[in-house]
Amino acid sequence: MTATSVLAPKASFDVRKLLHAREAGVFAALVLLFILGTVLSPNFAQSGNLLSVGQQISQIGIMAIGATFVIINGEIDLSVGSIYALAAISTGMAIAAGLAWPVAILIGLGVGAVAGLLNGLAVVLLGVPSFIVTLGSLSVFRGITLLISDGAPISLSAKQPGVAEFTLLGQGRLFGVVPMQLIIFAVIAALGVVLLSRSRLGFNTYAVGGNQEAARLVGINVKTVKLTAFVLSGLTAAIAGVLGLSFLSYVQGVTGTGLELTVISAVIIGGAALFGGSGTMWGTIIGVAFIGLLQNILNINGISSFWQTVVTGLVIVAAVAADTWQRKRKTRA
Amino acid sequence: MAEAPIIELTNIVKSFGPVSVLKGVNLRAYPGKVTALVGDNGAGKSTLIKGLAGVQPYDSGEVRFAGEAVHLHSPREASRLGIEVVYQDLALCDNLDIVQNMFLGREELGFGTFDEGLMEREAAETLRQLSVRTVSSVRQKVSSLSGGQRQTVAIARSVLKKAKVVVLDEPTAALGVAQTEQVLELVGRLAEQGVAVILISHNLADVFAVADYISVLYLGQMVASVKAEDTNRDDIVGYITGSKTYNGVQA
Repeated sequence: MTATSVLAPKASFDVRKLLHAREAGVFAALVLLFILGTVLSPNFAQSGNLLSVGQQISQIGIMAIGATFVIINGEIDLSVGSIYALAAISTGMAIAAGLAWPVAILIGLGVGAVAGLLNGLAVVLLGVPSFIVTLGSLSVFRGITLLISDGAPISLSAKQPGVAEFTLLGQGRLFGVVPMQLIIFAVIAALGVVLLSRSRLGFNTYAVGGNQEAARLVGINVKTVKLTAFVLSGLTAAIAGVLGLSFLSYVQGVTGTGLELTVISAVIIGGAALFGGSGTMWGTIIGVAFIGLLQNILNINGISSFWQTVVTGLVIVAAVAADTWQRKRKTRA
Repeated sequence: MAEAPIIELTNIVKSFGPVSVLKGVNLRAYPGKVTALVGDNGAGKSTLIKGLAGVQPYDSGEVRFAGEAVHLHSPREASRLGIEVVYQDLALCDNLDIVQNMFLGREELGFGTFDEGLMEREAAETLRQLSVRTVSSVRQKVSSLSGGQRQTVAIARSVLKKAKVVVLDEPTAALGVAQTEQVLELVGRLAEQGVAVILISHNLADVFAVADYISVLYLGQMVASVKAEDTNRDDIVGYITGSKTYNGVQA
């Protein structure tokens, strides 16, 4: 307990953030996974393969950016898989009804944002725990999706004007190489990083997640912070849903079932704690990449998709166990 | 009284349903002075303070800040006037470091980006002003601090906000002897900087060590407000327990 270093200028905040033990751990695991993939299969480290991994993780990644805000708030959003489908169906129906595709996209995103807002309002105004609220809305939004589509799938016909442009979002490649979806993910991830680590909203998000009562007492509007997180979660789920529709030109009422668990897994593997207050956007991005690479390695080595499910589950538990162990060691030191 | 009070509460009333907690309370605090607020459990100290912080507005009564009538309906309004409360349970975020905790809830953090370096320098400068020597780095997580250090951070936060009135709710309740001494020294330095300090405490030794004025709440009424030098421990205990009534001039 000496004071000398209080006044000494420190290395920049960023450097220390990068060296933050938890993220460094996940990043090291990601590197190990990459090496493992390279050793196991010569096809793994090809740019074509890696770009297709990038394409595959984009939708999960976009959703995970929104989910990170919710989870750092100490809340959870289980309804994102349903919002994904609801937004995709809404956009698909709007296009099928002959609306211009940009308008259709705005409708889909608006539906997602409103769905997120409703989740948030139920949490902050009714005081119902978000686990319960979103467990309910998971069912409600899925039901509405099935109702408005009458349970029938929607296929976009390439002959319809505008559909070709719309499908470019999900299927297109910049310069014929980089998947558009990956670029959209990168842009949203960059926005997420800035918003969470450099803005007042992000700062307040950590405060609310760390000690809600303290945040309220210093005058932070806790309700606004939480509402914003749920809206971001709904919005990002909707963006992913629209991209999913664009990619497949097809959507049905049950699309995206169970996506929420993959999204939450990515955020947790990335180091965010479910009880809130900790985690970073970079961690989430690394977590998303980890899940993507893991599935890809299992895929190209011909391991059954049933095993993929088992392995993903084990990884989540292992990641949190490693984190807990690390924390204990730190407090003892 | 030579100097005008910065904060003056007159005839404050607050009830929770049928339970009347504050029954017309008066309180004054002066710049550069420590006013101790004492009273037994349930006397209404916390309720009085929560109203001052804007967390639980009073039902009726007048609040004057620097001579002007004001309304305190939210923590933000109180904060804007320069009233800061350091709560007993400290209201710090364990997951954040000292600098981040000191800047919690600050309006200066714009919607855009903010300057971590500047925040760090200001936090360090504030701790230096208060001659704090007990923390090794302003980038330490608050979860790793001792009770006294946490109290220090909470007090420094109010200084950083340029508070004119700082209310300390039992700042030494959970502390050991050495840490209590450090915090009391800090309370003294806070007053030296011209801040009006309102100190809530059950520990009369602490109260007599730092207070200039002592106000005693008994069952929702202010039964005595006296200069610390004009009274003694026995009298104060008498007022707190209701076994003695104050007959002198209210300070």
